[in-house]
Amino acid sequence: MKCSTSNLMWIWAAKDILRHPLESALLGGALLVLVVVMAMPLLLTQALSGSAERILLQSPALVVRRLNPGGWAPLPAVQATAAARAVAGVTSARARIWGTVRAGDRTVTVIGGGEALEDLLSKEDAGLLPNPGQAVAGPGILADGGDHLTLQSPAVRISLKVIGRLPPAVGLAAHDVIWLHDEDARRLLSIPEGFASDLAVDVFHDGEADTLGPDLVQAFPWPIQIVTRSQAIGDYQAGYARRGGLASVAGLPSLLALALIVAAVVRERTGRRYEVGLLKAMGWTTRNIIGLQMFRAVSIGLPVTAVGLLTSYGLVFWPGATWPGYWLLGWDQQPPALFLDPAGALLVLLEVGGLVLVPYLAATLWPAARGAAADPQGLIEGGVR
Amino acid sequence: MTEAMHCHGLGFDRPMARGLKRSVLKRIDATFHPGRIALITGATGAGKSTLLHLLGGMMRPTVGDVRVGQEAVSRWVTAHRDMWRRNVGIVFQQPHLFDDMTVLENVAVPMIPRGVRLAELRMRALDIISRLGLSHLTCDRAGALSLGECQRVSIARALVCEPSVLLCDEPTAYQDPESIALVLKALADARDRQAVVVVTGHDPRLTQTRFGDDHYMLKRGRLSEL
Repeated sequence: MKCSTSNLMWIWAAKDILRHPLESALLGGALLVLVVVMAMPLLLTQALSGSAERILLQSPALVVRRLNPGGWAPLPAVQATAAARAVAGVTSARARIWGTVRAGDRTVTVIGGGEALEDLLSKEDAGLLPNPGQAVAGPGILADGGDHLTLQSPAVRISLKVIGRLPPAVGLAAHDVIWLHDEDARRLLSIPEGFASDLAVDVFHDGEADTLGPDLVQAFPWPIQIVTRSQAIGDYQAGYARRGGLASVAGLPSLLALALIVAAVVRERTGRRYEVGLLKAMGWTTRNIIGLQMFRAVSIGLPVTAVGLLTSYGLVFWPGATWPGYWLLGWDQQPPALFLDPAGALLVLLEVGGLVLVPYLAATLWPAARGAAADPQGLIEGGVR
Repeated sequence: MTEAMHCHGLGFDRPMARGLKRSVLKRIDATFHPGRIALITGATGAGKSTLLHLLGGMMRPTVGDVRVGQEAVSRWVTAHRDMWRRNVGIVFQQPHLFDDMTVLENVAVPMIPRGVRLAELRMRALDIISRLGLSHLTCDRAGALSLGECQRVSIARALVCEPSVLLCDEPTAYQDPESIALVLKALADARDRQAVVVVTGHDPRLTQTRFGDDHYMLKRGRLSEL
């Protein structure tokens, strides 16, 4: 009665791993760290890019800002809204009040009124409208000393009571946003009554957004800057591609480490020519020997790669996992919940898995294949202990 | 039915430094029959081990060939010789064991690629270990054994698959008289099941015990029947 040769090979491979426990543990550990270091920046970059794109797809088709020689200037809300609505193809235009101020040692975004957030909030959450002196903070904002928050702009410094939190569901869009009463926001940002920071414009057909630019420029009596949704997405993607590029540069040492692991594995396997010769003398074929090495390599490489990929996945997408963001992007607060694009993440995981596993398996199998094709006596004599 | 093993004009030159060669075996013609033990004696360096390695397909001859029946096995490609070697049990002059494995594991190694059931593998290994008087060492690491014990483990490993060709290089070296009796009994059992058994040695105890059915002398690379 016979049993599957592969069952015995698995047992033998496990035995072989246990024969060299320290070496196997070191190899496994090195592969694990390598997988995590390679996968985490790629996953984080992809998650940020995907999350930003998802948010921007909910943003207005066009954003119009008024320019002046010093940069940008508030625009008169009623007049600007009317001018935009007069352009054929524009379906809606709404004035927004927002800007950046200091909260302690960090810069945060403040939004006045509720219109800017209304697309992101559920009906229940939208009921959290702050009154003067009150604020609703995004998930990434920590109130200083409990439920109070001090905001400072070049013009004014105000203290606010935090009456609620924006729900985590708003994600990256409002992660470090503070929602204020219209009046407080105007004071902080020095925007007079009747004026707004910019104009959010929606169009009848998304494809027209790029072509409406000249008409909008004509419609306003002052110089304007128009940013379309596709431009904003492009800017973000370029930014994340740059980060991804930097992450790749950071990954160069990882590739060097991979090369060293591959070289060490080749050297160690080549050093086992004596064993290969002995096995061949006892009736093992080239196929058996390669099979044994394959089982051995897979027994270490596959679980380690899987654990490494799961670890990096967890570090990026697990709520509350902070240190990848702190390490790679300098986040010092609770990170936003990132959007997972399953297909994209799978591609990254497969890419990294392949990048690490293929050279490792090749490094294991190549010397075995080369040695196994030789005469056993030569291998025993050449590698005799 | 096991076929006889023939050497036809078998010669082997060992490469030396500076491209020189030393002729180890010179045009050997011999036939080793199944069901008989061939004992080859000769001085150290006469080429006994080299002859066994050639018979076992462990390397290629420089001239001539080794035939089993009508097949010139020594001319086969490596992969085919690897498969054929499953019919061969070989005992090296040095035991060549896996020192960090137990006696049981060392003896089981040849059975792994043959797909023997685990329970049967264990049973066969324990049986041959017991026949060679090594039962008390079954779970000991090979690296901790004496040279004589290692040699007997190596004989057990060669015999465990009941090969049709058994090649033993100095199997009685390092053995005490009691162990020699066990070794010779194991080799005789192999002969009795019609294996081709070729044993080399210059141990006088082999010739004194009238061991072997056919006696050969290897001298300066030439084989002569006694």
